[in-house]
Amino acid sequence: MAQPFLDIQRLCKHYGEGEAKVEVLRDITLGVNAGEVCVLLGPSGSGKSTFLNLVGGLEPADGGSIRVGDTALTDLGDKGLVEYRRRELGFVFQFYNLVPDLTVTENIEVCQYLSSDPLPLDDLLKSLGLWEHRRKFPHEISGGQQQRCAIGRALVKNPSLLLCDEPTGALDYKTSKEILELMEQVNREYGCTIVIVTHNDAIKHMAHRILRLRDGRLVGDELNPNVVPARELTW
Amino acid sequence: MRSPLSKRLPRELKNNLGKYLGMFLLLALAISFTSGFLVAASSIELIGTNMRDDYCTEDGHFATTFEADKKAIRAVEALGCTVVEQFYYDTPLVFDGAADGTQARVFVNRGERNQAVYCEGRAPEADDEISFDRVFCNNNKLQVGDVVEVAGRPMTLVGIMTLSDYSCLFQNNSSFIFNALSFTVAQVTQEAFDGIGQGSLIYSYAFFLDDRSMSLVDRTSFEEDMLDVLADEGELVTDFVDCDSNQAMVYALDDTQGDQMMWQILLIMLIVIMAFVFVVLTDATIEEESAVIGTLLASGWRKRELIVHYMTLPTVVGVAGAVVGNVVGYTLLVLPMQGLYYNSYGFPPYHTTWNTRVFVMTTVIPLVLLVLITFVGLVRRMRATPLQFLRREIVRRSKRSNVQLPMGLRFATRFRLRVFVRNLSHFATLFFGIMFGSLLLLFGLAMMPLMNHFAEESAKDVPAEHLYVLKTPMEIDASKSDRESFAAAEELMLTEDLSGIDPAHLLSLYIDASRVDADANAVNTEENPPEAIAQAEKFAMATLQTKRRFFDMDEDVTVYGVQEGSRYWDDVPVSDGHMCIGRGVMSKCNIRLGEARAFGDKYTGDSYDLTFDEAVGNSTTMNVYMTMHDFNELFGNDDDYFSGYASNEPLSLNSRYVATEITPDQMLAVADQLQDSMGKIASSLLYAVVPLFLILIYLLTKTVIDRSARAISYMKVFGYRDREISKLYIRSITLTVLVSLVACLPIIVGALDVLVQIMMSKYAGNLEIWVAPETYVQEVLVGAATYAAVAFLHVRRIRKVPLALAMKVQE
Repeated sequence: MAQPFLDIQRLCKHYGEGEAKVEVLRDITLGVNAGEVCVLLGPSGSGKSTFLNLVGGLEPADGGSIRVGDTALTDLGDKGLVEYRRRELGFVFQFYNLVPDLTVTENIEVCQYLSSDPLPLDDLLKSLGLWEHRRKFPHEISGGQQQRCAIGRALVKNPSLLLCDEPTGALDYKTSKEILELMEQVNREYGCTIVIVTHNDAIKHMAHRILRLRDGRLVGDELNPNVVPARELTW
Repeated sequence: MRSPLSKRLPRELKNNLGKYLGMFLLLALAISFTSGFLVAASSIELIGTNMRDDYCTEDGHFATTFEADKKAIRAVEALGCTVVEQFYYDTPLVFDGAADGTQARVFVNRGERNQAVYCEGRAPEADDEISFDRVFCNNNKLQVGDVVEVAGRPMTLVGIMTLSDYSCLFQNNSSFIFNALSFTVAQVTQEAFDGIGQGSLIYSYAFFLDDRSMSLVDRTSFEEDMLDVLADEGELVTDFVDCDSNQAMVYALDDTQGDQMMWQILLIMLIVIMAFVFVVLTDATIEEESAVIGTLLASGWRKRELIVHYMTLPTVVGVAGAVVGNVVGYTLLVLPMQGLYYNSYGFPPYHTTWNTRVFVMTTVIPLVLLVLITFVGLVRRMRATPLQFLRREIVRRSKRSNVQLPMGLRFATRFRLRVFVRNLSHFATLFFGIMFGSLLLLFGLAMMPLMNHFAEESAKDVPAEHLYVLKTPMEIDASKSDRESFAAAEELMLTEDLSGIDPAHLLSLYIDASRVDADANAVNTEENPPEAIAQAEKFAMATLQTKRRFFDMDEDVTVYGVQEGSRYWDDVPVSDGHMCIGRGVMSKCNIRLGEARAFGDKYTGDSYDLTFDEAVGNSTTMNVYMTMHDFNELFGNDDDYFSGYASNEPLSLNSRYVATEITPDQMLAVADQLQDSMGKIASSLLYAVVPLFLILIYLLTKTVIDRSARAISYMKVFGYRDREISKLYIRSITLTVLVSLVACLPIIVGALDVLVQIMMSKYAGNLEIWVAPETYVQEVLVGAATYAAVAFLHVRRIRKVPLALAMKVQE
């Protein structure tokens, strides 16, 4: 059997020491294949964001291993992690975190600059539905458009792994669906593996793989035989 | 590919115009004022220093009672110098608007030595032509072509000039103040000079050493030899001044050097303040950009790439500020700054000289500091992980924020306390910023009152209404016959041609003079009332040097030998073996009671170890005291040696024996002189300080109010009215600013004391900080008014922020 693209073995993470010690992730083992859309569900405090941070190389793990493609994250130092993020990873945040004084195009160029083989910017802007807004600043566009821009920024590097932390958390129903459709499209067109962290149970239907976390433990890891197009999702 | 982040730079500049404009103005103003002044002052200092070579100024001069014999001059020259006649008349000068008693010191047109430098017009060529000093002409609005009356003769002003040995118009070297209003030096042709013939001609000779690099001790020894030769040749020397002691030559130069120190202290303060502001601004930028930085790091941007990005704008703004500051300083400010000196002193025509040291101090150091501090601040902040940036955890949350407040307090009070506690670190920053700014402001505001206070205190150091300092001991308590004998001896000595005297009178003079005891002290030829004589008291005085606390420089200390139980020095309890020291000397030279300290005589090279038992006087007292017996023993004088009289009554003394007269009024006149020479500098300092203070307060309050902007917007969202928000929020900041302005006063006065001591280290005398009560009020008022102006700008800006936007960008 082929090794999964994202291969996680016995991953542990805790915060604090002694009586204040909190086990955030306990002995997580899972694999996500290349090109899959994976949704990680769980209630608040279950460790979803920490999981994403470890996979994104933003925090070191306390135990276990993470491998993304050929890269063993847990063996990398700070510089290696920077190179990993630069080369392999795209990040999408709940609150977009766009650079306020750069236009839509320029915000995307921020990450295009980091790649030796970026996606064509104009095509990306068109496929993201931002062509009309490409010269606008973040405060001149809606939240949904800002999130599209953030997705474009993450995608332009042509990353192999796209990590999305509550990407619809700050958006209304309609806009959320538009963003999810966009992710679906991105996955289809660019073939990148996507991990979406969310507490919205409905989103699991569009995923190839559904993971569930509770109190830091992986309590569910199932393949979804009936993937539903994002436009058909309801909640 | 160029970094896409570089596109942010002009927009960042535009969006944060206040911050960067403030930074730019802070640098540009600081650099332009300090470089403008220091370049002008250092250029003038160079011009002054080079005058010795460029205009061949004298190494000293002496005057004789009569024209010295050629043989005597040749004998002096044989020692290793060239002697040049520089005879002059002090004659009345009259013109429209001239002050009463205006005098011109008229010389024959100078040659190569002690050259005259013409600023306008030319040297006189006809008998009715004259040239005057430039500063005197400026003060009296005299122009080339004006006709004046010199010694009763009309003469046309054909030249405005500066004599290289009169850069400052001191009529007498013993004068406390220079006088460029009713005294001038002048040049005329030889024929015109011969025609003046009014008043007594002063036979003054300038000497120029063959070895111009001679040390002061060697030169003093050489000058003693000169005096011996002149005495051997029968010449009676009435005046002898070494160039280093010639106030007309050194005063202006000393003033430029002293003022440079003042500006350098200001510059150091500015550099510290700028460093502080740069740290605050860098921190504020990082805090504000936290989420963006976290995202960029999470996206794979390297920390060094971000450091370069965040350094670019401060560096560009800094370089622009430095360039503009230098351009403004060199082009617009150098000349006004130069004018501050040229309006008082007669230096040769000004030309700016590039000064690398000034450039490094005023430009390179602040710029490097800006870049370095921004760099270190960024590197320090960039130690945080991407996640900490994303979570905005780079600002340490204080445990104080969680403190429980008594519920008994009114909501508004508790809210204000919360605002205060939550922003404690910001308020601490604001406090320190206000402290630095206030230090700067107080420095500008306090200088002139301080100088006046110094002069008033110095006046208290003069123990009598008159201190007559004598060239040699002269008895005033003498009989009429003794006075007549001495007067006869003097008349014989001073009369050039005895053949012109009536033989009977001459005989009488010889008989009277024969009664003079050659070994006894001179006798005053003037008569004084017995009461005046009775209350006068002898004292002895000498000047020695000892090391100052700061810098490797010597301080002139006046050593007084006074009588035990003196009626004038009644607060100086000296007795044989019990010496007292002025508190000013102790402070300035770091001398402790009971410790031996070496004092030297710069003219003889002799050294004396003195130990003091008691401190006397105030912080301006730069004297040490001992009994006359101890004084004469120390200096190896005869037991009856003395060198002056202290008297509350005016004494009539033979002027040939009086070196100088010191009165409390003269000390107060020092205040006028300081007002004149330092006042304009202090005013220019204030012009520099006030806008800098304004910018500083703007930048600091901006960072605090910007940080509060979001919270203020929230209050508006909740439905609070602007006035209510102001009561709850702005008032906390306002209160902090006002409390800071007052609370920092003791600290800044202490800091200013140290700064003033360092600044005054290069001046003679001890000046300790004194702040007039009204200066405190001025300082707080200017601070409060400045804050009110900038807070108004900030609050108005906050009010304009759309509330929806404030909510939209919130995490």
